Amino acid sequence: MPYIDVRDVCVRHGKNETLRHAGFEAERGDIVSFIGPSGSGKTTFLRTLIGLQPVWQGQMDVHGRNVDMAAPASARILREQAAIVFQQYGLFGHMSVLRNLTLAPTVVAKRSRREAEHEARALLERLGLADKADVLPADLSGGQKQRVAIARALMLRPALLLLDEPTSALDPHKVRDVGVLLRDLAQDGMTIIQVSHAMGVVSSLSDRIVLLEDGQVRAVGTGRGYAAQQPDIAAFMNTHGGDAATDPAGSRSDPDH
Amino acid sequence: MTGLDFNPVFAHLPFLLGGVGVTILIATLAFAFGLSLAVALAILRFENQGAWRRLSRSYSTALTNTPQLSQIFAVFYCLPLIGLMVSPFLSVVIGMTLNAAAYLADILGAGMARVPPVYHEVALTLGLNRRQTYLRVILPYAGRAMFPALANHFQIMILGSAMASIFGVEDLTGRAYDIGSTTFRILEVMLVTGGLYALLSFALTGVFALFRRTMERMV
Amino acid sequence: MIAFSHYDITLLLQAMARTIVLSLGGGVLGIVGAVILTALRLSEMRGMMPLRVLAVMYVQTIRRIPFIVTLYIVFFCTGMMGVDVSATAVAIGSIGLIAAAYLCEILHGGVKTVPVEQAEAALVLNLPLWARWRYVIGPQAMSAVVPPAVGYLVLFIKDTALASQIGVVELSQAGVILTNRGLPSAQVFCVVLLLYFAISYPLTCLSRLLEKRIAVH
Ligand SMILES: Nc1ncnc2c1ncn2[C@@H]1O[C@H](COP(=O)(O)OP(=O)(O)OP(=O)(O)O)[C@@H](O)[C@H]1O
Ligand SMILES: [Mg+2]
Repeated sequence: MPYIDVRDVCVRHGKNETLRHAGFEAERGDIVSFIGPSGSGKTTFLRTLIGLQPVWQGQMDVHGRNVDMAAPASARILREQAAIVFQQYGLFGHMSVLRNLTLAPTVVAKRSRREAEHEARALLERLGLADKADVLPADLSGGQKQRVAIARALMLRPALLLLDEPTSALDPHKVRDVGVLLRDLAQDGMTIIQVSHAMGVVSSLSDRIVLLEDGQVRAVGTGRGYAAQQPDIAAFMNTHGGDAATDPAGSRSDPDH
Repeated sequence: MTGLDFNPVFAHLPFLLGGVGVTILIATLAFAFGLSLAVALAILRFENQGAWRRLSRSYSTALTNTPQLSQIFAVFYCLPLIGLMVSPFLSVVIGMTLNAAAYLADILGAGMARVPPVYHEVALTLGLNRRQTYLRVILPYAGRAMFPALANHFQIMILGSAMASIFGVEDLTGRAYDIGSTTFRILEVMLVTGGLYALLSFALTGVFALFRRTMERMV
Repeated sequence: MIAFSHYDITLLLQAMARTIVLSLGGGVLGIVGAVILTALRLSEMRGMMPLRVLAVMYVQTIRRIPFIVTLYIVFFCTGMMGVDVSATAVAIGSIGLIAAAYLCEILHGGVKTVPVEQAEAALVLNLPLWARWRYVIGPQAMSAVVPPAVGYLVLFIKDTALASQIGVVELSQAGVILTNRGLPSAQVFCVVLLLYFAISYPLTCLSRLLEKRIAVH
């Protein structure tokens, strides 16, 4: 039985069917990438996984536990294990970077402020933001905000990390850093699901690639052989400027690369 | 025209200056109570769609479209009807509180509407409950965004508290009137009083600016 | 429902008319004063410097004094100088003095929202002063001036209640008179508040409408 098994998710916005019987599987420690054209439902799918999106129907098994995603109580269950980084970051503008990171650990998990701050500073340092702890989010660049948002999500110590275009505002160098970070986290057993338009990141990082189109899962590619197995995915990635040549994370590159 | 003679006024200056404290006390009490009520009203408006929201809105509409003086009169004359004997001071504070709540609820409501929608979702995914979300995220954000408007309303309330004198309260204006009627130098005493109000207001402007800068540094 | 007598109703209606007269009179005076003050503040002629400073000081100070104190000052000042004017005239004058300061702030702020380049563009077209204001600066400042100005005037209607303190029988004073005559206070104040609402609310709606209308453009 896979660690995560999502089946038959349907979402409606009014009369529009934004997601139609969508589903995928993932093992623990997998990095899953959602790709697809704009408006295909990637963000919506991610939101359903953390209970932000009212769902018409859908099932999710996590670690052998079944969640009926259409049930009102599902949102809390989904949120207990997951954290999300939003496309627009959503950093609280009236708090310092450090407080953004420590808010949930101290207020929700009731950890001591000192300990939370210690962990937060270590995390910021790892993301190259050691000097930004006491700064307001407004004074950060787009890429810095994005990494702070990632750090804030990690402070929740989630089993499942969801990222909506986590590298869209980063320069190639930073993309590589974030890629290395995600790979490390996955190796420690965190399951990561990301939406990405950066095909280099997708091809170098992903264990699975889920191609969405018009609210449906068009194809799922597994492992590194996806291109051969799944011509749809290969075609999409080619037309969206992606090939493995711009391998940003590097860590998975073939020797002959 | 006889000349102005300020000496009798200066003889009573300590008494007059004491009135500044009463003025600040009235405005501060009414502002604090009014703000608490306003928080409740604004949340009521923000959380609900139907009758509750309309009720909260109607409260603001009703009280911002009628004079504070008449509202205080209504409190002053009507509370005894239901068996509550309250002092003029308390009547004024109650009247000003009800009035302030209406304006402050509008201000806070506008601030809460400015909170980026994604904040609500972030709070949810961080695991904050509703109370924590309001206390830690929504209200602090709205309060900061609306700080100039809130500070401005406090200044308006300092000026508005002069109405207390009409009910016999010994605030700055009330004491000025007293001095005026014992020394027969009412024009002089009112000129000095106007100056004191202006000084107080300038000082408050400075205090608020300082407060705001500290607030921004203390993140 | 207790019946108000014919006399009571007449008193209330007269008082309401008085409230409207105070608001209108004060508003018109305020607008005239505000235009003069703003012209002073914006004037760039060299000899005008002291007047400009005075105008700024006036605007900054008078807004920090309670209306009732200003009212007393004007009232006792005219009394002391032996000027024989009615209490209503004193009240209108005082309202005008304060409204001029507030409206000047709004007007001045509105003009400042028009980019300097606009005025300069008009200048290099050799437009005369009146035409620069009539066709270029005025219309563009409108949107930043009219809604808050109407909003301010609505606020001020309610402050006219304080005119009762120098003996003007306006709406709130009528309420006190009727209560003292022994009419039930709850009903009297309900009626008084409703009448104020009837004056103020339509104008509040107007100011909101203006705000929306102008925001669209
Ligand atoms: N709140 C909403 N109300 C109505 N329709 C919505 C809403 N949210 C999303 N949709 C619709 O659902 C579809 C999928 O949207 P979604 O944001 O999931 O796309 P996406 O794949 O993330 O696109 P992008 O790559 O541009 O971010 C779109 O057609 C969108 O119009
Ligand atoms: Mg999206």
